[in-house]
Amino acid sequence: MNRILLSVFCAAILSGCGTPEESADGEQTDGGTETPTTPTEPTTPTEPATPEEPEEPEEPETPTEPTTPTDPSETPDPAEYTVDAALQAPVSLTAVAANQQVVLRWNEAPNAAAYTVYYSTEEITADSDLSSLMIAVDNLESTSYISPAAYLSNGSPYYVAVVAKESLTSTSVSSFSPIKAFVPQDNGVVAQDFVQMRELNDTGTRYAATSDSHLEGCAEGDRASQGQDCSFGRDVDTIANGDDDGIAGFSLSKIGDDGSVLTADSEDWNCVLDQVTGLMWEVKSAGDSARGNALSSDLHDADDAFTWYEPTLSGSGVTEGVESHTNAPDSCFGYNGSDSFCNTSDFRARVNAAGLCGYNDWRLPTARELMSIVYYGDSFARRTTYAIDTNFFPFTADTVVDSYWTTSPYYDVSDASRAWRLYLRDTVSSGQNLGKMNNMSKGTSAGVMLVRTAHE
Amino acid sequence: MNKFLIASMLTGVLAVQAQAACNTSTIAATTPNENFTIDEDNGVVLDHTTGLMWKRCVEGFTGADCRSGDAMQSTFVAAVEHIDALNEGEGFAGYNDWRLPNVKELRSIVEERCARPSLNEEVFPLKNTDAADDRTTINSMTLFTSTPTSYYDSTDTFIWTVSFGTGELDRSSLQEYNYIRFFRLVRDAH
Repeated sequence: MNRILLSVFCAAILSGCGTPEESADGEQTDGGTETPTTPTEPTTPTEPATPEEPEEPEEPETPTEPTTPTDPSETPDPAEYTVDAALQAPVSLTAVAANQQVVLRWNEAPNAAAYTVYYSTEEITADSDLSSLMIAVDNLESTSYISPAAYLSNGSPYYVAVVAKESLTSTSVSSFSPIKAFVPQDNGVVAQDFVQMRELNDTGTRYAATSDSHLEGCAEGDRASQGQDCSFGRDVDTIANGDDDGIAGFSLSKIGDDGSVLTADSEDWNCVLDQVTGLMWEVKSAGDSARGNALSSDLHDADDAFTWYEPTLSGSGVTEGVESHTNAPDSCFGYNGSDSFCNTSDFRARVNAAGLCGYNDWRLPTARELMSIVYYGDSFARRTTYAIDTNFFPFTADTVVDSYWTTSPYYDVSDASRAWRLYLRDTVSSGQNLGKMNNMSKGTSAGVMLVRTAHE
Repeated sequence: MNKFLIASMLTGVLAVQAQAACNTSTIAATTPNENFTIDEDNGVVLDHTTGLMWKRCVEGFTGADCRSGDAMQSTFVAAVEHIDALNEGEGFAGYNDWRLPNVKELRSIVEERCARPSLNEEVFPLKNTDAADDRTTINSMTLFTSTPTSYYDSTDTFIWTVSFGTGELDRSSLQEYNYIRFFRLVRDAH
């Protein structure tokens, strides 16, 4: 009873919280989420239905007896579950402790129809047998879970992991999500506040700064490496940090031009879905070096550059930007000199008209969103030129653009004409700027890597 | 809708109280009050969007308004050692797993509609309101992250820093100049 009430409440919050965020980025206030534009969303059958999360047809368990589904004819006995390593597991799990309670959130795994949450008072490892664990909830269709009130013991450690199922009746489950430990506390946390949380992407840093070298492993060195970045987060989680799905803690999927989720070894992809952040990114194509007076040959050409021009964001203290670069001649794909220019708004409009990867709710990333995809993990002393995983975001040597615009206006009480930008590569300055985020005048041309919200 | 109203009311109040320089009319809040649970008694703040728990005051400052004590400026190594000693000793707010935030975590609490400091001071009080000059070290302080970096024509090593004067990223020399910076603690709220 209690449990059902709670989960309905959460689901209502979920859909309620989703809406206002979109309007902040202009443009697609109506189009919003996944639904209408894609004719084919072949690999993710469950998600396009989402606006109706509250429906949630089955919540089979009773609150007191988490291990027993109420309708055995519809759902299999979890005791029969076996692990199928080929199924895609959730790659991100966050746990926040509350008073005799926990709130969990994980990412939408591709192809998943439902999830089962396992927990234990003993440590869970990647090899733990399913039958040795307790089930908190089975066949849950949403990606967050709040344990029943007053169910857990404060001060005691618990371990938790989530597995994905491809259908409600399947007895095959994925391997574990990252395994999290938590300790319930009387800490004033209201669990419902956290049902939409998302783990931040880690930085990719797997070395520690030391006094005599740029590059050491995390354990070595004399700079107290246990307190440094390389000791924490997804990059050191043995389940999250495999390199096949993006270097270190990144978990990326290649997306085809029809929106389908491709395997990591695919050689023809147009977008990348970040499973941790739920953001889908435009992938630039090889720069064709067509600049100056030569018009670019490709809408997504990596060396096309744009002025920042966002009339819908302007107002007191924020200028609308510059519609067309005054000195450097426009050369981006689609420029016609009359109503289609090389600025951020026009570029976004062209990409949405083209329906990149089957979607037309592409937008400029916020500063925080663009920073989420940055790979800070290499030693720049070794002449790293890119601050992004080039296996998923290939750049070529002739790409001229170094910094990329965000949609975020830069606040300066005496200068309203600047916006945030971030260096994803560094071409001129010996590497000092790589990964740096600062401000730039809107009339300067920079790159744009569009983003859309794939999963709220 | 509702949320927008509440947010603009709160930030309006904020602007008056802390005299922070903020553009509340045009720039969307990046750290609105509704994203946080403030535990004033224990001196911690929880971010609903990330699941991170922050120590509310910059290390060294204390009190509900973070105006007591002196902010601790130290070298990177001294900062890490200070946190180690804290975790091995009495901890803070009942927790012993505090750490420095990485560069993405620290940048996530920047309030982009404000400057000097670029913080929502309802959540993270900081500003030195006694200072006649808006550009005092406190109001535009630079904080260490836990993320190392370097660049290829320098033999020095560096740590990423975030300026809370503006929210911009920069790096601090670790070896050659061994800069001292402020710092703030974070932990996973698990």
